[in-house]
Amino acid sequence: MIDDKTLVAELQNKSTLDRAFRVLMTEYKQRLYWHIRKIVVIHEDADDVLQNTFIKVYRNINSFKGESKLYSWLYRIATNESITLINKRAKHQQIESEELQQQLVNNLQADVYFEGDEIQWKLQKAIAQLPQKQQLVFNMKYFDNMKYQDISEILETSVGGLKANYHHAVKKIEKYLTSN
Amino acid sequence: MKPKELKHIAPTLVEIQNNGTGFKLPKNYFKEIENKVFGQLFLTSLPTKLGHQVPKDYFEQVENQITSKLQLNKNTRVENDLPVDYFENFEDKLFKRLASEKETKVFSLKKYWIPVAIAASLLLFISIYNPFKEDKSLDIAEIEAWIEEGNLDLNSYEMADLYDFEMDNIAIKPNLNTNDIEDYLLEEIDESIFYN
Repeated sequence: MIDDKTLVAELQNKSTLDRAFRVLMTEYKQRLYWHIRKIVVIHEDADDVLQNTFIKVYRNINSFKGESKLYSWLYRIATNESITLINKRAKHQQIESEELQQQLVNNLQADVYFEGDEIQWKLQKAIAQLPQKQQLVFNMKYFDNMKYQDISEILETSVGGLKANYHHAVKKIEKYLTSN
Repeated sequence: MKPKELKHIAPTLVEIQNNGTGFKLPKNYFKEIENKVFGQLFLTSLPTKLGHQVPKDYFEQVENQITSKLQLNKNTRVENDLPVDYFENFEDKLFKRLASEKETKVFSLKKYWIPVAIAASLLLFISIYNPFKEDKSLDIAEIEAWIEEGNLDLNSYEMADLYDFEMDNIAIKPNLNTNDIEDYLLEEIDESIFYN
C-alpha cells in the first residue's frame, strides 16, 4: 500500500495524477461512501455526494498542504458535501435539516437499499432525532470506531467537545430505544 | 467513552453494536464508481461557455429593437386583418361567383348571333313591308334611327331565347352576305313573333 506522502506527491504531479487518483479512489471509496450514506440516508444521494467529493479532491488536490492527514481532509470534504446536500433539500422543502432526516429515515422501510430489521430501523430513527453535530459524532464513533483526534480534525471541533457530544448522543439514543 | 462506561449508560446500544446500519447498495457499485467519477470529471471539464461574441451595446439596444419589431408586426397585422366572418361566408361567395360565371358563359355563346339576328330580322321586316321602296340601298344610320323610334320592341336576350336550335352546331361563316341571311331566316324563323 502506497503511503499518503507519496500518494499526495503523485496526485500533485500532472503526469501521474490520473493513475494516483485511481489509487486514491480504490483506497477510500468504501469508507467515504459509508460515511456519506449515514448522513444522507438514501443510496442515490450517497452516490452523488461520493462522486462530487472525488471530483472536488481531483480539482483541489494542489491546495492540500499536508497540514492534516489526507484521510481527514477527504472526510472533511465528504462531510461538508453531505451536509450541503441535506441543507439544500431541507431549504427547498422549507423545513429544518433534522426534520428532513427524520422523513428520510421514516421512509427507509420502503427503500430497496435498506435491509435492516426492526431494531436497526429504530436505531436510525433515534439517530435522526439528534442535532446534526451529535449525529456526526455518534456515527463516526459508534459505527466506525474512529479516534476522537481524527474526528476532531474532520469536524474541526475540540476533542472535549466531541466527547460531550458523544455522551449526550448515546444517552438520548438509549432512552429512545428503551422507551419506544 | 470507554466500552465499560458505554455498557453502563447504554446497554441496548452495546448489544446491537455489531448489527450495523441495515443499509445496502447495488451490486458491483464499488467496481463501477471509479469509472463514473472519471466520466463526471470529463463532463465537468467540457467548456461551459460557447465563446460567441455579441456586437458592442447589443444588450442595451436589443429591447428597443424588439419593441420596434413588435410595433411593426402589430401595424401590419391590422392592415392584413380579415373581415369578420370572412371564412364563414367564403363558400357562399365562391358558389355565387361560380354561378355568375356560368351564366355569363351561356350568354357569351349567343352574343355572336344577337347582332346577326337583329340584322336578319330587320331585313325580313323590310322585305315584307318595304318602308324604303324608293331607295333600295339601306345604310346603318337609317336602321339605327328606325330602331330608336321604337319600331323594334325586343331586347337581344328575348330574341336569342326564341331560337330552338342548338347554337353550338351552327357553323359561323365570317363573310355572310344578305342573301344568305335572308334564306336562313326564311327557313328557320317564325316571323309572327315580330307582330306580337
